[in-house]
Amino acid sequence: MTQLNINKVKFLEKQLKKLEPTFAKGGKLEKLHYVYDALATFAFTPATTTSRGAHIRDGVDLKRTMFIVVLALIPALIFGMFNTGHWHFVAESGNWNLPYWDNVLDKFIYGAIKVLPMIVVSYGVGLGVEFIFCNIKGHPIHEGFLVSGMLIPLVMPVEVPLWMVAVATAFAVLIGKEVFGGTGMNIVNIALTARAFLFFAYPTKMSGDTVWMGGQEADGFSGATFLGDAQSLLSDSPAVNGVDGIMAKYSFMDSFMGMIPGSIGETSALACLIGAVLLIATGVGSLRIMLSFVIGGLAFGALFNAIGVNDYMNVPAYMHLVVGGFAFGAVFMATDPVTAAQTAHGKIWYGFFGGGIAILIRVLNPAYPEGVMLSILFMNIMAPLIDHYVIQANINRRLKRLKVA
Amino acid sequence: MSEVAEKVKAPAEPLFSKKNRKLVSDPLSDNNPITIQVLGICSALAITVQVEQAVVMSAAVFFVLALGNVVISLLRNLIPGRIRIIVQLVVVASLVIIVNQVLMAFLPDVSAKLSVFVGLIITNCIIMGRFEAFAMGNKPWPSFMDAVGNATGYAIILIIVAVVRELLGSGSLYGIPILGSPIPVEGYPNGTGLFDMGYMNNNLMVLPPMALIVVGIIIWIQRSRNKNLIESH
Amino acid sequence: MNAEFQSGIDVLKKLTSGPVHLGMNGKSKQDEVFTAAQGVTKTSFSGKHPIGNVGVQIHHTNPINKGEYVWVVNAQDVAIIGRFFMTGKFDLTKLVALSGSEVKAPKYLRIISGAHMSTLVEGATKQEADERIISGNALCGTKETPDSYIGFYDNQVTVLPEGNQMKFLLTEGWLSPGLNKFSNSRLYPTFLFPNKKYRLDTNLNGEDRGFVVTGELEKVFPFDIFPMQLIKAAMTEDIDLMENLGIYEVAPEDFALCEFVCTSKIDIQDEIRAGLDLIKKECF
Repeated sequence: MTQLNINKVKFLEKQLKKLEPTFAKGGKLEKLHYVYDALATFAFTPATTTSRGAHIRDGVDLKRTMFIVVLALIPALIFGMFNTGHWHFVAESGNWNLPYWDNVLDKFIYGAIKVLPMIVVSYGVGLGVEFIFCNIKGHPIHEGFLVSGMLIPLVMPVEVPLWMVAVATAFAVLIGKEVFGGTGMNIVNIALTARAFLFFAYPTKMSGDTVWMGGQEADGFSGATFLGDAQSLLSDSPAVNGVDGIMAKYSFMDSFMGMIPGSIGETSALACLIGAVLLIATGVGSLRIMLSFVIGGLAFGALFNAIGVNDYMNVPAYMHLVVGGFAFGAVFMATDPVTAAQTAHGKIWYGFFGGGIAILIRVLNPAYPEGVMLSILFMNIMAPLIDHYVIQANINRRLKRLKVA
Repeated sequence: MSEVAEKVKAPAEPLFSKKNRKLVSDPLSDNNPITIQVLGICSALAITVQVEQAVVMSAAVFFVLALGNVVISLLRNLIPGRIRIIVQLVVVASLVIIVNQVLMAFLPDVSAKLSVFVGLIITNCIIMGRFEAFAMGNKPWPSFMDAVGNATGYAIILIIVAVVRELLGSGSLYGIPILGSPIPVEGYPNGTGLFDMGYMNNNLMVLPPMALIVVGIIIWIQRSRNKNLIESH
Repeated sequence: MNAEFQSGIDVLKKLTSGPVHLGMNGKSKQDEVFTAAQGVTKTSFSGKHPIGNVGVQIHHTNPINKGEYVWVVNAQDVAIIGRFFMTGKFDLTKLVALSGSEVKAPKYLRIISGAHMSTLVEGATKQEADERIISGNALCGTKETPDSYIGFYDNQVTVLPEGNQMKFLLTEGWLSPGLNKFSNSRLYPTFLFPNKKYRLDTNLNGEDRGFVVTGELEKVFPFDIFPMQLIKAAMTEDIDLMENLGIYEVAPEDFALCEFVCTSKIDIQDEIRAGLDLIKKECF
């Protein structure tokens, strides 16, 4: 750090201090106090010191934690932009087998043009709603939306209109979070609330053939996802020829790499895996949840393989892990520390059933091609119940000891 | 002595005394049957997809509650305590049958849409609640005022919810398209009005969960504006 | 000293109908004073902090149930009690440690209990930054001024730099590489250098937030108790739940490390203290 930079920082610090009275109680812009507070604490960790109790504190704060999650999302985001571009060109040319690694830059730029506005809208609307609410309720603005704002665009098909992103984000922040008291108090995952809202409110924009492909409908060519095609196995007119047909259309390796159509950030299991490594290495994401989620998915997948009464059930269990939002959900959604189970044992059950129910919904329910979103939301609701039983076991141990004594 | 005192006092109370007016105004906001007492929620969720249904339903409840309250109030000294619930049920059931027959005769469309929910007015907690809590212990006129207040309070919430749901769910109000129509016409492949600009109806609004959320938001706004209603914990 | 400690123990045995336990450091070589002590149940404890806390030691030898009492006496205080019964004089001379990063030369001082703080710290500190004087240790001591007195139960005085400086996000804040930030979590790369030494200040390093489950609390809480659930029960003043979750087995100081690592910067020791006080008021 050069001298010049230090001077700049000092200058910024001085300016901030100079502005403080304007926003303090009784100041001219008193109403915007919490906005000032949010921006000031964004730039500078405040000079607040401890008063009692532990006089020294750990270096981490919630902002750092959130930042690590955003960092872990970057591989999925970058790959998502590129993949989005690729499928747009596929739809345009009508050639399903368009070489994947050609015109890399064009594809990436096209994807970026599509995706970046969604990110801007999601952050803008979400933070806007938070700013308004924090001002009304008089509590400082929390940084929880740093992650939600990035997750929301990543779990949506690229063709969702921007106004829908805005409506869904506002709904999720308002009904998913603010009614429960803000960051750390929500019951269900914010990003999935946004997705579920769109899924039920505007189904034509969230599923079907064209939404994954840049909105193009080419002649004699229907672009669909693995899940969409697999779903059609349950109907009278399957789009593919049984399990063999679907496995030929989407190879395991392509699906693992993410070279398939799907929501922006969810297609690449590899990108999710890179994020998972970062989350686990830093201890932000729970390894227990991720592993048990995957094991739950495999277990239920194998179970359905064994039953195998319809074609979808015969899709190999390992395939379920790499298609749709399974990997993304396991790494980034199920591990949300606020809405997941909180006890060590609880996390295992939470993850196991989260993964299992996702597969259950996929293969048995003809109405919902993607089970991961619904299963994680369901387990969010169930998490306190799971925790309750884990804690009750601890309480019973203590009561037993009391009786023995 | 006390009888005399009552006789002297009774005419002194004007029809629209402060107390009586309070009977009407209280249930409109501070003691609203839906948002504060959380009664009659089922019908509020079921029949608020369109404003028309909500209006008809409100009128039906108004009729049943107003007449029922007066009848029960008149009979209050004759009803034996042990079988009062049965008597109340008989009264409300007869009134609901009248309403149902009238609707079937004059508004067959709406009647078909409301289907069982007219019949289910019998079990609407608001009605039995007012019979039990008010009409059984008060004179006919205050009972009537109480019924007016509660039925109106119920109607207000029902209609607010229905307006939100119909406007956002179907783009219309009372069946009149406000935001345009999603049905494609010549020259407008996406529909007319806002729909031409890419707007879409919100399907979630048509589903019952959204009615619950809308009622929840109303409760939220009401409670945060009215300091009396904020609970300590 | 030996005789004083032993007679102190003899007195304690007379004062209680229950057993007397002696908790010892199992890692370093034990002083003869402790190994030679007679008539007590001796237990050695070894491990990381907070293994030295009486709460942890009690939990792992003989957990407290509702309605039971455990009295705790510091080793030096045992010797003082013994001295009193041997000589008839109440002699409060004891050793205290002068410690902390702002002390020029950390050392032991022989004082009379309740000594004036200025006599301990004056001239002994570096005076490089604003200093905080703590009676007790850095995790659960009390903030004091030079014009006050050392606490009766404290055997340590700590001097730390005050962290009353703002920290810019890119250099020292949440976006920084954080090569000088100590953290128990692995969110800063410093976890790769476990032997690095730090000069920790009293900055909160963040802002007060709602509880977020990071799993850090459980790592530093060696009890068969759910720390976060217990803290929440204390915050919501739910006495039954606190009892069920084992509030009788803990003291606020057992949560000192939890408070240190808490990402949401909640004053956990305060919350537990408030919970215990509430139970004392309502139930006893």
